[in-house]
Amino acid sequence: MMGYFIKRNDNDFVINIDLTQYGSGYNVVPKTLDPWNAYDIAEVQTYAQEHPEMEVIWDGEKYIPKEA
Amino acid sequence: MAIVKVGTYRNPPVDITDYEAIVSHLEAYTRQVGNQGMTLTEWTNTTNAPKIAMGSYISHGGVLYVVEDEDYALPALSSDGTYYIRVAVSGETLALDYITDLTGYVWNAIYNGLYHPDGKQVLPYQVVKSGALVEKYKITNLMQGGGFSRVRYDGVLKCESLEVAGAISGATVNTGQGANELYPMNQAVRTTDNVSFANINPPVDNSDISPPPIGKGGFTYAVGSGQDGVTLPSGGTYVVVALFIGYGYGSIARLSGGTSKVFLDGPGDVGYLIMRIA
Repeated sequence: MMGYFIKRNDNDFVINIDLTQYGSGYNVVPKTLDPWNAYDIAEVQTYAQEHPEMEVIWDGEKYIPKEA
Repeated sequence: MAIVKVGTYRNPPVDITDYEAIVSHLEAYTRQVGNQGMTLTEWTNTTNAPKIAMGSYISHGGVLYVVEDEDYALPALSSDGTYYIRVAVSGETLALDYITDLTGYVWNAIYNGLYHPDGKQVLPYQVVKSGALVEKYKITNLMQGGGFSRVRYDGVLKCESLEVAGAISGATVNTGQGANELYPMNQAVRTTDNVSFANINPPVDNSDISPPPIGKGGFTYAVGSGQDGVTLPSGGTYVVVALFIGYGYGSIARLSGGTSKVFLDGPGDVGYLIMRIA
């Protein structure tokens, strides 16, 4: 499960976001930066490409779909 | 019971005794070629002292001898220790006994054996007595005169060091701490090493509001103006406890790595206890 996600840049994602809670989710970065990371950045990149409808952004008060 | 000469012959042969001695040597070499004898007895017995097996050949000083009639009995093992079998000429026969010290023995390339200047040699065997236990070993590098690699009857190899180009396989490894299983490992794990694990990690000493990376299970501390907030390290998920220093109230939140957050907006300092939980 990767759920709603934020893409900060190509190598920095937050996945499994709870839309009701600011800062929620799990931050996925390359293992060169975080060797303890539980996810493979390439898998998250692929997920993000295949599920653009799940990408959200923080508008200052709440999460909203990026496409909106 | 004796270890006697296989025979001597003149070259060129003169009479029938020379031909008989030549035939005896041919038989001896035929028996030894490709099948150098394990001349001790009692190989698989761990409590009996060995003898020299009847029919075994011993080359000593360039002369070939054979154990005839019956197994050759060695002297009794007097006490616990590591013994070597020494060969000496006694008239027309050989006399064998045990020694424990190889001082003075050097490899003799001509006679292909480990010889003492007094003309005695030791055979490539080791007998180790420890209480009732008597183990026999075949030495594979006798020419070194020490630091022996030796093989026990059951295939156990004992040597000074071991180098392999490929993998080592086995049930356990014992480095003096008992027989232990060895699991995958990719870092040093001595008490003085900084270790890193997937789910158990040590605290990270810090006080800056942009903390360094923390492994899962690790934690760190940050302090700064409440207005500045804190930016979590990249990766994973954290629980942050923020306390307004001097005011006695605070906040707690679960946040993803890389998140910046102002917990307590004010001019005073805020301390953060940052724990990585995923």
